[in-house]
Amino acid sequence: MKRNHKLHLLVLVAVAVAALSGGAQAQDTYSNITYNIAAPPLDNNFMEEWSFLGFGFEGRRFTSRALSFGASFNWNYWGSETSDTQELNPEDTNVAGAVTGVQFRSLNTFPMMVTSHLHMGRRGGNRFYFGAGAGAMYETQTLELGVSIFEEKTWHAAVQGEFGVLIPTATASAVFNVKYVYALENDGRDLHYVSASIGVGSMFW
Amino acid sequence: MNSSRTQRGWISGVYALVILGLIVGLAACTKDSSNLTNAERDVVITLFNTETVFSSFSDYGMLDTVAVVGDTTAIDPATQTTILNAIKSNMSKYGWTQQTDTTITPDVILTARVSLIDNYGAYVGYPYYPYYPWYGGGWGIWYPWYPPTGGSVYSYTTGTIFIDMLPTSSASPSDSLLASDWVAAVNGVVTQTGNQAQRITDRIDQAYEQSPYLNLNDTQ
Repeated sequence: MKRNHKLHLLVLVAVAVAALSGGAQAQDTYSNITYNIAAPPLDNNFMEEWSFLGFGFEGRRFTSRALSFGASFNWNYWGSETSDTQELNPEDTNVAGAVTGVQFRSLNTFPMMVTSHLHMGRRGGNRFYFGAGAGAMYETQTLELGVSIFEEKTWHAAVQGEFGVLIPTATASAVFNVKYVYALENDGRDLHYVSASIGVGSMFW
Repeated sequence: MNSSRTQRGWISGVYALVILGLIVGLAACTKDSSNLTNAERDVVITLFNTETVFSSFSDYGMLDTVAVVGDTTAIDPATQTTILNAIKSNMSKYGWTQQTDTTITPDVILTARVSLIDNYGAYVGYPYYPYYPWYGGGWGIWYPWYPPTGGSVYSYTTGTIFIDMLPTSSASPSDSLLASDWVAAVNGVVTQTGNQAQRITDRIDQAYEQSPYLNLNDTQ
């Protein structure tokens, strides 16, 4: 990732944090920004590393003390480097082989969900919640091998399950959550992984 | 009040963690190839026909020149010698006998060529280019040979060395086609600077190392 992209992202984070702070009065709505980590994707031999780079935005509107509806956007980046010899076994051919060289692999996921959450606990206190989401996920996989780059970009229908806790203070709130994201098969590939987030949010109902 | 201050304090900590996490993540976790040396960019790909019984072969023939694809510029003699010697050395190590009598047809013919054009999107081991005429010794070779069916798409860049193993038993003069049973592609080494001779030798050695099925010593 180039340096100017890093700068853009940090500016984006700063703007989002400022927006959250300014919106603290509207307590039937709730929004947050989170830092995300994620485990290696499950049942996947392309990426075996953890993701320590990601962020998310989320908004919720409470329709009752316990129930909210909203939307979320998240991003996670996984990266790995290897120089191991990889076996090549293309399917349905009489060709096999191997490749040796430094490989850089990266995986980006951008789940965009419509969400609903059920919150427990009393108003003004810690609110444990669980929820679900459905929507789409944009995914990019890149393999850099020597001077060659192979990239695949795919849209998936996606769903997620989530549990977490909102912790209020006088002026803002903290959020911790764990998500399971499942991107349904498209172009012969599905993807599912578990992510965890820590973040800050507005006050909530 | 004290409780509120405490909560505000650690909420500020969460703010800091979010921003710090993003900064550290951006700085440390992204992987890219922008600072690789030329040698680190080298890639060795080998492919073979899974239906071929390599242990049924014993000798090979080979020209004493390296063909050039896509350019009329000849590869300098020293580089050609490096490539050919590396191939011969590995074939000998794997128990193959070089057939130098041109009246005897060997089991396979080895060809070495260097591509001086980019072949993005080429099929495995076989950048598609107009055939070039070539005769070696007493053996007739017909181009273009046809690739194994299917397979993934790779791209090769200028300076890639290709080594093909062509079984003479499957040659079809009437169709002017010859299939390759084994191909090695060493990406981008010939025209780049650096310790070129050693890099070429090392990468060709790697091609054989990752092709143990060629080792007649293990199969006999």
